[in-house]
Amino acid sequence: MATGPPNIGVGLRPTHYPYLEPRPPTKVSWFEAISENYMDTQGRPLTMLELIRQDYPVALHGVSLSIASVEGLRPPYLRNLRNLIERIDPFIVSDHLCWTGLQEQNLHDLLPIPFTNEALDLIVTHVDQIQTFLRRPILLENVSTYLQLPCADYTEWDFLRAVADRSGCQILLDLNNLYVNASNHRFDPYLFLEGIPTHLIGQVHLAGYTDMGTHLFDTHAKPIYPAVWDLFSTLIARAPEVPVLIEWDEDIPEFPQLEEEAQKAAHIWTKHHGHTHAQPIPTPVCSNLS
Amino acid sequence: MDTLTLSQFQHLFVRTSLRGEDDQIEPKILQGIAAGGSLTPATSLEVYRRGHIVRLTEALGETFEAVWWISGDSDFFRLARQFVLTHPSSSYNLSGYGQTFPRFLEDVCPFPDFPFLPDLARFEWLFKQVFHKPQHEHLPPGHFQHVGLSGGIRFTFGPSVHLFRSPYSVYEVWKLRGTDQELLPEPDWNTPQRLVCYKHQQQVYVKHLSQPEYSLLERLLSGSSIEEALTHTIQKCPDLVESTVSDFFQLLNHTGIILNVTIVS
Repeated sequence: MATGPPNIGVGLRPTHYPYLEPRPPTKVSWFEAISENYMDTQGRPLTMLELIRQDYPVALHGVSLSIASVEGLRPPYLRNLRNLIERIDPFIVSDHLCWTGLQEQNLHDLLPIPFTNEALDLIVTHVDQIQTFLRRPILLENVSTYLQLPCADYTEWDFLRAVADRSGCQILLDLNNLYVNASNHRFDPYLFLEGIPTHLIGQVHLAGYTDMGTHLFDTHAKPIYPAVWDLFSTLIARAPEVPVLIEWDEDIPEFPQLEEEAQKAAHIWTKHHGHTHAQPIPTPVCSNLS
Repeated sequence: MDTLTLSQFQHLFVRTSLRGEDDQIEPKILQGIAAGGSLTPATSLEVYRRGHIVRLTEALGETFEAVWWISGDSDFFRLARQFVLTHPSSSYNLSGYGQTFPRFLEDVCPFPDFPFLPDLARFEWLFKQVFHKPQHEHLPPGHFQHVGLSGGIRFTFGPSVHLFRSPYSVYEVWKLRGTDQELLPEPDWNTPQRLVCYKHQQQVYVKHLSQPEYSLLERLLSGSSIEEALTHTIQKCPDLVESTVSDFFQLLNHTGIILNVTIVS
């Protein structure tokens, strides 16, 4: 059972199943599960997710929606996602603002999109199809990129905002990705932050990147860097109710170390807002859905 | 990208990511790319190309752990790269990648000293499928005895129950994975093996079957009645004795693989 501060969650990873299975008290308020890890199984992973769900709110975070794919959405994927949603009753359903490859040549990566009107129209259409099919709003996350494409009609933050404004989805703002892109593509990260109205932000991700020498790489293999904590501090000062997630996907530490990162986020939150009663996990509202 | 539509860009990007080590990057995709950090347009595309190979290799390594162990890092990574570049993923789920890897190993035959490798890969793929199957509510042993055995009975088995057969003792090899290969005595790979894999209390179990047991279970799984399965098996194994049949039904009872019993009049 959770005894932690408001709205700070961590990613549920198989490495931690043995620790979490006896249902120990933790310092986190919720868990985020990678949707695909539970969509095509009826084995132990799903059993574990259902066990966690008995004690915590759960967000489902996908990596395979490929919302910007010119080949369209995959109906079997959406059906399986909807089945999982019905089973788990998550408080957030999210994926990435990207494409992952072609249907017969899936690269399984979060690939960059040109910030053009053509891409915007396609994504808005797809968000509408998805939200109608799932009968609920989704959140889309900004991704780390290592190249930018020419002929952009928007900056990344303007594009993200336009997607949310036009489709009615919300933004999952990954501050690590924001910082990685700011460093790789040489823009001011605070300009990005100021460009996104807080009412569009439905969730925040925090993670650690790896410095490759030539560029920053989004590995989720390190503790969160001070510059990312600074961005978080700025954001959380004006968006106290937004759920925050600590992500760690490679060289995953023991669960207590993950809790320490969550505690750091809680400490920053408390610095701005003081000790208050636990906030309820908000349910995102989608204005475009009837 | 003045002349590229979104569709043209995505197809070109995928072709670039799947190209071989020595293949040239098509100049059209390089035009106007603003590379991140101190990368060049070409090396920024290489980040994605390498990432794709690494990710799919990891997925193969996770599923085919014993094949990796037998091959060693260097050969496994070489084989995986070759497979990844020639067998693009059509699954949305990364863990669904690799179904044709056993056939690939059969075709390229990378290690003549280890002829069992494709079968070992088949076993690992099967094991993964069984792991993700639902745990069924098995028939209580009391019920099984209450019904009694007669020729007209047909069984319905749990969805996790799968048979596996190989001319090599791949299950024994698989059990050794992760240990120090050099310290192990040379096992006898050439013992034919018949196995049943199933789930019980969320764990995957593997049991050896004799030839008659395998034949009986194969028929029963395909929907034959006990009588039909016995008739078929006696034809294949004329020396089948009553105690083998009795032991077989006790095995069915104890493993909990039966979901339901239907008595056909």
